[in-house]
Amino acid sequence: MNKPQMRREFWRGTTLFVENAVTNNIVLIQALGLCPIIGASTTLQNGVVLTVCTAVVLLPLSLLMAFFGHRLPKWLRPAVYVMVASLLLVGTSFVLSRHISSPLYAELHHFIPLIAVNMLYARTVGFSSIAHPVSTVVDALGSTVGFGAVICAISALREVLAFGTLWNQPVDTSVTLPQTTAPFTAFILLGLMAATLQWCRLRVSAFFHRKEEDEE
Amino acid sequence: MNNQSAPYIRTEARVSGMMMDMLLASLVLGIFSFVTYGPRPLYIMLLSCITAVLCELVCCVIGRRPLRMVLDGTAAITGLTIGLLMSPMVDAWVPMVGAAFAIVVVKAPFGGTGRNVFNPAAAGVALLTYCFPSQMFTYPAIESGVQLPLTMTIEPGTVVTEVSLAAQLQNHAIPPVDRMNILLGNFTGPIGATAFLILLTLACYLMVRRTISPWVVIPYFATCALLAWVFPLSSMNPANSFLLQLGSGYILFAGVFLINDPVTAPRFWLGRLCYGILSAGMVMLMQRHGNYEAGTCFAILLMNAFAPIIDRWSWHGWYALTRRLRTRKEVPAYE
Repeated sequence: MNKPQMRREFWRGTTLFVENAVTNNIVLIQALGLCPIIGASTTLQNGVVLTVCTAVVLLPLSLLMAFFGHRLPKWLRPAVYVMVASLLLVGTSFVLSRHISSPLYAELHHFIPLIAVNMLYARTVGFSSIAHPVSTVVDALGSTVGFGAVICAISALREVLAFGTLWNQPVDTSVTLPQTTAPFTAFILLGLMAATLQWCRLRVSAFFHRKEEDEE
Repeated sequence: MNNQSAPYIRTEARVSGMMMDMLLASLVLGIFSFVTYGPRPLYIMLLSCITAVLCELVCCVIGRRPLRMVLDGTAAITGLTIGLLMSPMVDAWVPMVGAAFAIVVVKAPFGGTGRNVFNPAAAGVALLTYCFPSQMFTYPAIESGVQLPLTMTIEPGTVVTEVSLAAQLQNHAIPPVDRMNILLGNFTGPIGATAFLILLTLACYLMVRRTISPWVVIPYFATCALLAWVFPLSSMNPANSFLLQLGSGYILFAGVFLINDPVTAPRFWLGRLCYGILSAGMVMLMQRHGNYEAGTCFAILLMNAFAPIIDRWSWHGWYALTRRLRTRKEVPAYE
């Protein structure tokens, strides 16, 4: 591969990553993978564990689908990816419950299996069965980072609001509101974050639009 | 962004006139409570109203909307409605939190007056119900000449409290019934939601003034009354049970103040009719089987979410039904 080609590929990959992680955020703009965020993001620990689970499952899965996905008929792909994701999640939850923290697993055991049928995977896996393996990995990484950023931000906020702690360390807050562990807070926070992101996107695009007009 | 005066109702926009009527109605209820409890209910309503207006002002400044939109009175009505649904002895910061939530989270992010999906007042009260139920549902007993202090918080123990009608019904207790007292609103409950006859009179007045639509209000009240009549509380005289069910909770109040919001209710007459009936059913269900003694606000929020669908379906349904009878066969576009 010669130099300009490599540069082009690099920029394409970066764009893919930034799109999924920030500008076209997988959660806030595409509204995928909402269930674990609303249900389980009550403490930062939960958020990080779910992000790690997502990464552990998503990367191998999308690589697998990149290599073998195009050989499978279209109708078989979802079934295969749900099965493989479930297998990977069984391993992940085994490691989590036996070697990391069983109370944490007890808290999250409803949500970890749900990750297997997360729509976030459907998108990434659907993309990876038609794309080049490298861009697949970049796309999966971008998705994970986007999902992780949102779930960690929301779970940190909710933990501080609800319990006055952050990663089980007490934080100096005067008021705690235990009711914020209810799902509606996550809905409201998600909505506000999505609105902010949309607003920023509008601002940025309006700025460039104006710049182009000025140049003309 | 256009500068039309919102809310976009099809009858010609007389927003501030409507808001003056609503203001008058809430003042009447405030004065009713003033007679019973002294000036504290008015103080609570004022605080909540001021909070709502200030929050609206801040949101207008941030959102770069014209500041005269604050003056149309919708924010003030939201604040007053939240104030009216408080217990008279609630801590004064509670309605302020509710009003701020209603404006900053429920109204402003959707684009302010005329564009909100959910009724801000109902959402504020729902939040308070969920987060501070003990504050919301501790009512002072009605005694002759009780004067609540005009302080931010009331020390527990200084005021005699009483269990409200709604809570007694929820616990399957049989409250002693004096029909006259219930009709006159002389029982324990929120500031503005106990005045049975006054609320009905206000509904009539506002309907005559065309501030609230009879297409919502009459089906709502009729369905509530029907449900209360057909499904009386067990082991109770049907007429007493009827009065108790209608008088407890926010049922009558919701019919006047909450479901008539011109922004969140449907606009087509058939849609309004369906909306009124469905919300009455939902409200009565929440009242009978809900977790809280006053679940009306949750029911209203739920119905708000369905209002656009109800409106569109009733529009298309009506024109499909009357197609044979009309000379012009095409269906006017749903606005």
